[in-house]
Amino acid sequence: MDMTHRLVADQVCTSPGSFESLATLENAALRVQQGDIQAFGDIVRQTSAQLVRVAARVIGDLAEAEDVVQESYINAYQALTQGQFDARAHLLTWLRRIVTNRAIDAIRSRRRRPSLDDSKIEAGGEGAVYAESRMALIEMQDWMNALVPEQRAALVLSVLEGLSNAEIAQIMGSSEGAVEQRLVRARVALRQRIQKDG
Amino acid sequence: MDELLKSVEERLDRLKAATDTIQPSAGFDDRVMAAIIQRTFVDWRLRLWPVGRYALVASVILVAITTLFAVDRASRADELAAVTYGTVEQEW
Repeated sequence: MDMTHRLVADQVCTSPGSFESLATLENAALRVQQGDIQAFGDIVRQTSAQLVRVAARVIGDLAEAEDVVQESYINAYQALTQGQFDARAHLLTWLRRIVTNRAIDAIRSRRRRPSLDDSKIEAGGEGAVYAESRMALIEMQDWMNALVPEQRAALVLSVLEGLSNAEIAQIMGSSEGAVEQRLVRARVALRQRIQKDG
Repeated sequence: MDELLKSVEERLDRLKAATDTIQPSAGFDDRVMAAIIQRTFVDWRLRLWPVGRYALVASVILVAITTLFAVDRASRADELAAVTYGTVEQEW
């Protein structure tokens, strides 16, 4: 994707609540349901940056996050074409739910793999920035390892993605109370981890 | 807010800032679309395979019935010919 397209996509993704961007996504979803596969390409371009970032923050590994998001997109496409998306939630919320659930599954069945390799850092063309993100992901993975995957996902969606408890509840398929409880427990566990480390 | 909780929040803020710049690797969107197209094609093949299998079985049965019918008709024709030949009278 060219840089201009990426910048436009990022603007859409950084303002997920904007009516225009959501309407564009919903419109693209309708076109996909009518058999327009290119419309799904529009959805991917508009949401991939945000979804990969969420997955990477939950999992702590960019390469694994990309695998998770790719599989999520395949599932989403199949669900859309088979009429399984009923538009009760916004498309972006629905995609976040698929990605979050898959990321939680990935943490559970994690097989240790090398994280973001040097070729990908160079491919980005901004080595220093990518290296900083990579180090931060490794730090997150280590620090949040003590958390239950659901707590970790809730914390990422709340603190790092800035979503409300109601939105997180919708994404995780639980009540707002359960989300609040996960967040409290996650903070307690992280505090204990800092205490332990010293 | 105690010091430990403050340090948790500060650390989360720092990690948020450091990971805000995360982007998919180059060509990720294209790879996703290629995977979707490939998976869709495989799905179609998987869906067509049972239908094709039944069509193949039906064709084999049809060929067998046609062959039996043809053999039966041929043998009947032979019998008729034999009967016809059997009734030929020759005069000397």
